[in-house]
Amino acid sequence: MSIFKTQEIGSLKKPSWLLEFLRSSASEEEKKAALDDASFVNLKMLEHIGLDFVYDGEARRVEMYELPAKFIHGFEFVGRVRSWDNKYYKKARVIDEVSFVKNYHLEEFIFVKEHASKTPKIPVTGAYTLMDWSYNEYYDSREELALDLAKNIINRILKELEGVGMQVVQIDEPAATTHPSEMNMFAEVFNEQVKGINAKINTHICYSGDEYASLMPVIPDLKAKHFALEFANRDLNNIGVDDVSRPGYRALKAFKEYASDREIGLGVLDVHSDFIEPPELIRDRILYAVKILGDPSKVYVNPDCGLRTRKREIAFAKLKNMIKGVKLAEAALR
Amino acid sequence: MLKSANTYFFGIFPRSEKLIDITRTKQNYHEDLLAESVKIVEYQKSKGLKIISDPQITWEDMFRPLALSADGISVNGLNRYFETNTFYKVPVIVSKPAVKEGSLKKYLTAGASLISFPDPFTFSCLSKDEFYIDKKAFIRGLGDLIASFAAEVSKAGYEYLVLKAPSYGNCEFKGYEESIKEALSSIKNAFKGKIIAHVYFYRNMESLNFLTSSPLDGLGVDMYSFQVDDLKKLENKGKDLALGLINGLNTKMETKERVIDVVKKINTDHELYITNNVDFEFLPQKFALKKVDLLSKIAGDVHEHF
Repeated sequence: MSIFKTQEIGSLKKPSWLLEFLRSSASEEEKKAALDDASFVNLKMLEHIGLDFVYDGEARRVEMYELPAKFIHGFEFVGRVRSWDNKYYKKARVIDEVSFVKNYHLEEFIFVKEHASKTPKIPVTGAYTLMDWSYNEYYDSREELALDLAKNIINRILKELEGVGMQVVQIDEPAATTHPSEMNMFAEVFNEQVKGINAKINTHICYSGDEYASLMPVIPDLKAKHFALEFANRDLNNIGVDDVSRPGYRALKAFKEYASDREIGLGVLDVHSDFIEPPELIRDRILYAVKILGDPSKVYVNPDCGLRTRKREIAFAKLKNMIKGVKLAEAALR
Repeated sequence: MLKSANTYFFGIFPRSEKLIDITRTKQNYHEDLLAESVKIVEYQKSKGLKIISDPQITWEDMFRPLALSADGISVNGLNRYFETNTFYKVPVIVSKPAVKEGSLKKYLTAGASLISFPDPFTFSCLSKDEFYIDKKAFIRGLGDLIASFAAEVSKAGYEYLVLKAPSYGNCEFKGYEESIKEALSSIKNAFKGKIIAHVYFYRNMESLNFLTSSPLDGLGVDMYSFQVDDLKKLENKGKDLALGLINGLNTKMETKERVIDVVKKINTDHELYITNNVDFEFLPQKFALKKVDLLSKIAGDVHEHF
């Protein structure tokens, strides 16, 4: 029996055949069928690699912010803004009270659930991030907008997904630690959006500028069982299970202090690099985490974040090594 | 008694949708970036602005061209830029930096009279030092580097230099005051025109007080972080004042009336400017252009009121 559960975080790069087909003059029905195929291929690939929790690589989604913003009343896209260098994202402004238009994840989830042999874990962009990444031209405060999104949009989406069998949800909140002075607001918004949800609640928070220093003290207040965090992008590629070899995983000590009753989704793959992490490196990252946290049953293993910035073959190679690394870690612990 | 009021914008201007597409499909697009930069310069002139800002459209972030135009600096991984959803690549100082003569030229836009650089203290807080080790020496070294670039742009005809100084708000500057003043003096000696330090993102009164004692000509203030009453403490301190009243973080349009209302509350016997609070690069270009239009309309109205 395995000690560690494995998962991915969300996105995979779309296959080139899909992108070409979507740009073609094929009918809407044919394009939908192509998206079904891509979803299926990603799902089966992730299952074949050996992950315990899977989804479809977000095959139907354009981007984690753009999809929800497109389907929430009150949002209006205004153009692209820079993320870094020549990477841009489409940003929207909120010009009216936000209200529910449709559950933009329902069809996608039903398809994945129908075809999955492993447990689907659906990523859903959280209310705080949607608020923070938008221009607010309507509400009197950021908090008002975030709470409205939490109560009236995200909570409804989650309840409907639970109604069709969702067992595990990952609330994606990359903006969570952008404003350290707003952590209490973040906690209130987070809890509001998962109110009444019985499914297992994971959250994914990435690229925190302060190595999660501002997140840790509020974890006890958050109604999430599992925290998928990134570490590999800050770490060295040396072998070793000591502090010097594993500087990227420093935040685990604070996690143990504040969140010993929660699970950690340990980021072991750097998603911004084509470096294929050797299984031994992944093993040592996992063993270091177990050394700090003490309880291996609370350690899940995943990439730092979604893999859509990597070519598909690189992403799959990294994931395959991740599984090998997990097996090496398990062997070392037995 | 207000001497005069003028308007300008500072910092990196956002790229148009068309240009964004070009950067994603072409391998070499530097000429396209420059061409758009020239268009934005012409746009400002067509709107009657007197101080023409270099839109710095060729700049990926506020450090990159400086890092690439100097020996001794490499560029590392991504860091979040303060509390925004934008990232910059961290400059790493690996040896004594030295300007590569003439390298910055290709990042400058003809026809502009104002440009923005990082202030030396901010540069020290946001980059990685693998050479100086002592932070005071690091700040002075960066001051010398920026001074070299300042001399180059001064020779090229720029009359205004805005030193972007957000780090005074969240990076401890106490204990480094003398080094910072030395660094700023180097820059002041190198640049013939006016130098304005612009503080933004955080409300830190100590930073304003400190910078009023610096050798610079003026102080720019983010009026979405600071309050009008904070500025009363700066009145008649011998510095020009630039009010960052046009919000670069929100598409919502300001009104001339709100701007004039704030200006009326300020007493200064020095130059007054109305400007953006932070770079416009956090907006889509069409909104940034609307805000430039507003700046052009405000200049005339401010004069009327005084």
